[in-house]
Amino acid sequence: MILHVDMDAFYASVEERERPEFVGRPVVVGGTPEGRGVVAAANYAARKFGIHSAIPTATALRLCPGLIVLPVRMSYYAEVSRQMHDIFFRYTPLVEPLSLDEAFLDVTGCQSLFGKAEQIAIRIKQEIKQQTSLVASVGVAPNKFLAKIASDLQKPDGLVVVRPDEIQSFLDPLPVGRLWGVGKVTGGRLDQLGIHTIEQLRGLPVETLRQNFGSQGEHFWKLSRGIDDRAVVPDREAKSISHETTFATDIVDKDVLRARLSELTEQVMRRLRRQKKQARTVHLKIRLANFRIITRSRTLPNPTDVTAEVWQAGKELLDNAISAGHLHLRLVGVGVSNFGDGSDSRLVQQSLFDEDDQERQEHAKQRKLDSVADAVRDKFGSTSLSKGNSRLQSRAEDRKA
Amino acid sequence: MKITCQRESLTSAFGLAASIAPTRSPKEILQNVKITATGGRLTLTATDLDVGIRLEVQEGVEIETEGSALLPVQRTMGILRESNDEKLTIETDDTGIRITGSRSKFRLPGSNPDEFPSVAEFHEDKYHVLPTRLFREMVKRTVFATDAESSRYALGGVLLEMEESSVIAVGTDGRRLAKMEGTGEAQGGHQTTGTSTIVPTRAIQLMERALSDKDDAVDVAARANDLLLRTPRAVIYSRLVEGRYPNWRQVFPTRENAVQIDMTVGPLFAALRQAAIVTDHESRGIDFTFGDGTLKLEASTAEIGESQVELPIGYDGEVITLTMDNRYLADFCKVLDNESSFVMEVESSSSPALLTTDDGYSYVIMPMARDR
Repeated sequence: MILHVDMDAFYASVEERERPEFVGRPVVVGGTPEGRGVVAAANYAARKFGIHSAIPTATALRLCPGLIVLPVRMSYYAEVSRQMHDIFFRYTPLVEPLSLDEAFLDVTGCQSLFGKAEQIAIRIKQEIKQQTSLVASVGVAPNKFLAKIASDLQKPDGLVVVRPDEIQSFLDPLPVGRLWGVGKVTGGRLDQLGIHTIEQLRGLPVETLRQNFGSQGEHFWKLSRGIDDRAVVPDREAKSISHETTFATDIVDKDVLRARLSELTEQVMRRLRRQKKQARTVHLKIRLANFRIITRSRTLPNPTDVTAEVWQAGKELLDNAISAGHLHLRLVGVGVSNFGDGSDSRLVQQSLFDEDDQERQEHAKQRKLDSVADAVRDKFGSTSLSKGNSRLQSRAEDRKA
Repeated sequence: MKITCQRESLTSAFGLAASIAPTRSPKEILQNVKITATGGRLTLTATDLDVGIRLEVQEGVEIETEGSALLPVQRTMGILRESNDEKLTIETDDTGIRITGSRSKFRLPGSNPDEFPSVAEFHEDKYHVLPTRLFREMVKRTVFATDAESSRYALGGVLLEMEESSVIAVGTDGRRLAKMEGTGEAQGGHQTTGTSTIVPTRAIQLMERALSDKDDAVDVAARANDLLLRTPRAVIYSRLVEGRYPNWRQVFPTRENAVQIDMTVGPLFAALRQAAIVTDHESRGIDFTFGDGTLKLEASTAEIGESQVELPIGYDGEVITLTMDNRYLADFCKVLDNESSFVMEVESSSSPALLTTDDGYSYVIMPMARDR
């Protein structure tokens, strides 16, 4: 089953989240009317005035004089987008991002791990809400085409599931404009033929469609039957992998903090290994109780996919970053970047001393350990195996309870 | 305390002391230089607790009233630098410090000088006397090979081995190793024990900077946990690096059948810089091929390009290729004059290159190799 996750009014919602005073008021993100800018995104309050993305900001202001126009902060949205992608990757490595605010997820292989696709969709929506305070609409369907339509049907905060046996009843009543590739021109032609719904389209023989629409005709014939066999192509060009977690209450215990960081490192490294990559740079991110963000990074002498090596670096970064004075943390995150292809043979600097040979042996040993651990987790789920110190965290949670 | 001193001589001494005072420290008192005027002498001390300096200003000091004061580093340095007076008067009273020029006056708050940590004096009767030039060269030629970032702390310093007339300095980061040997003179049977005298990189650099070529010799005394260096004007103290230094003698190449090639720094460095144009941070290896009267340097980096540079050499035996990190060789070239000659000893692609000069300097570079 495929999930299409689509953030609702993403840019505008991010801005609303940052400035609660704008909630409920019409807000757009875009260029200035003086600069002849256009609307990049409009929140739902603004949409009520007929404002949508791509119209000139000047027009939008005419439609709604009280409109709040905010500048586009793309890099910030990208950061929020990464947080969402991190959530997706907790469920499946098969994530195909379409843009900052939407992505396809193939969850076929992980339903035994996390429950039915619908369950996964609910959990993803919840996690996005919890971690980013943003709302997503999700479509769940046997293929990309249907999932994309489904996610759009009950926006905002929608969840539409199309089961394999409901495909036709789901598609039939929809207007033909919902089909991929049906725009103004094609729509007009279909209109002339008296075709308005997908059900009507499905009634046409494939030859008629071919005559009218050429090679596109067969494409429409398939789509009207819910046939779409394009695979979800994960984005292998990712430049970094990271995980972070925000604590329900600020963490003051260094051991608990380390335990969480250790877990996050484990998740990051598992994803890295799944992508058959090696990384050289380790990043640490922490957010203090006063919301200040501290980031630190370190580049290792050689690329690695060994959890223990990245964990060692992450731990040292953490120790250096937090002095006893400000051990009140809201968030901790760890990431890796600077990827090399793990399969490539590469030049490695040789060492003078035996101790480095020991390091190399240790490296080989740890790699073996990681691959065994990965295999166990792949088979029995990610919670099947955990480090001793992760018990610290559950103890802390017990206290909270 | 009340003193008058020549601004220039005070500025240079103060600047040196100030370079040791930490710019940021939880112990704020360390961001001062302590001056003590007693017995006709003016002494400046500064420390960050790991390294300490004690400097004497002999020229142009008139002491009216003996005593001591703490001068805040940053402001005092500013006054000394910006003033154009030939002489400045520094005095203390109940409210703080007053610095007076002919047409300027400054007031700075004064902390209690008695609270300033004491900086060790040189009272040793066992020490080594080294030529100043030698000591400076030793530091310059080894310190770059140390690795302050290493998880093995011992590599974050220069190892000193002194026994009788032999003095050896070693710096290594585990991938290349620089060694400088020279002769000194032991006083009172002074000698270091094993590989325990490791002077932190920063401290030994400060020592080098404190030396003046006007002085012929320096005295160096290694103790169990620290090291003292004395020049006619200054004493510098440094804590030693704790940790086990790797057995560098064991990995230092002693080969009978290796190839030795005479080379000159300048031309090699020039060829290296050319070949290195297509290297980058990720891809630093350069292939060195020795044979047919030619040294061929070749580099190739995906998406950047390839280079091939040739240099005539006096060797036409069996062809030997080894890959080295271009920076490691550049580091060696940088600390020598262009005219300096040296011997490059190579054996195979998997064994280290050994570079030696005839003034006691040796440098070992481990090659790079294909992995996986």
